[in-house]
Amino acid sequence: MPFSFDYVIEILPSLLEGTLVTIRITILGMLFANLWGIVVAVIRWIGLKGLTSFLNMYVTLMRNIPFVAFAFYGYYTLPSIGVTLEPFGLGILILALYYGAFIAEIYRGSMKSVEKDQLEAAEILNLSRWKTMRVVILPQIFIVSLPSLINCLISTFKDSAYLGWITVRELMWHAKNEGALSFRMFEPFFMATLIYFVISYPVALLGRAIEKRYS
Amino acid sequence: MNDMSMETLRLWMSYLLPGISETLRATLVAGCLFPILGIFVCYLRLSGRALLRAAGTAYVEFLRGTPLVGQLFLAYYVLPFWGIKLSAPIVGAITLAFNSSAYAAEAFRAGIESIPREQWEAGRILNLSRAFIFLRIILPQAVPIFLPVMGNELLTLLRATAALSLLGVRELLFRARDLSSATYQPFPIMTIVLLLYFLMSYPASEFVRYIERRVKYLSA
Repeated sequence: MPFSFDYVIEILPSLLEGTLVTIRITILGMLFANLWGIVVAVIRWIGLKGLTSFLNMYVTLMRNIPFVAFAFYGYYTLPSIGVTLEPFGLGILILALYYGAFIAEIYRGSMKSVEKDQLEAAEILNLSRWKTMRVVILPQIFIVSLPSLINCLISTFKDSAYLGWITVRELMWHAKNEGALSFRMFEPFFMATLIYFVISYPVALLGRAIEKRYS
Repeated sequence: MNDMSMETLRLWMSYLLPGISETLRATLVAGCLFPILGIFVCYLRLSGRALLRAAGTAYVEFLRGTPLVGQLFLAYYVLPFWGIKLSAPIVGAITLAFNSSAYAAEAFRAGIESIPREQWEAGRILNLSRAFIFLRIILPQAVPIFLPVMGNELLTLLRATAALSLLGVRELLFRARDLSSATYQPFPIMTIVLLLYFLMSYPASEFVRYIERRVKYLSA
């Protein structure tokens, strides 16, 4: 297998540029997915008629379609309903909408794990359902959810690779582009995959360490 | 928006539906292959030899730590160098199997390791062979633990076949994108395709959840 280090050195700056975009879009996507996920989870917990069943449908839908199909869906259809974003913003929106559903499920699980005694105490204190959520549940669920959220972060990071096909200039886009320019496909994809690994592996280890501490 | 008569719909479906059979074929091929690979890798990870264990760990961590689409392109471009010439659907299905096998190996391992070590020791004291302890004592208890995980893995695999479209495999998503650009009507077409994915995945995921509940109930 011909592997040229000179060529790797040549394409490295371009790949690192893509890596920065990948990291930025992952962090921003995850941030917005979290905000959106909390909103969805809180509405579902409080139980607003109509809205709750709509959100249940949304979560079930997202969990049963492939991310790459949803990414193309957003890319093709959002402009036709008047939402025109540049690729980077579109990528964040797609990540947030898709992973928001998964994060809503994570938070739902954590909300359920809050002990019954606490909820009963809140009821005795005559707290409203919204106030119970705000002062009893929300402050503690983030910590409980952390291991699952880190898993979700890694999935987001890996799935952000698909955004290269909807013109976001992230790592995979650069790898594809370099390969197409020089007709040498192996090195760019090899290096890109390696970079993904070098970033995701330490995060995975961190996640496992946190999980171990909690259990 | 547009005139979506029954005739156009029928025309679209006649183009999209062969994509489903391609999607299901990739799922079937990879779905048969990945548990076998997973068992093998799990065996490596539980091996007494450090070298084999390290190889198993490297395999699992690499496949779980990198994007599927990167693995697909890597396999697609590296195999010809080694004189292996396979079509995109085959390369895609095999890569999917390798990808899922890493998760399967971890599920098997978690299942086996969840059975207390004392049971191995008790078996040894009773002079049972290791194979007997594993097959008759450990495995029957581990199966209910990893069965639902494997079911979910198969569904993840089904959804992951959408990535094969990027290799040019003419599965459902590929045809959807193709048809969208040919007709300039991405909205209805992509909506139909998302629903088709949903219809393939959702009933099966409910079935897996049912199995999960049954297993919990039976082993409780």
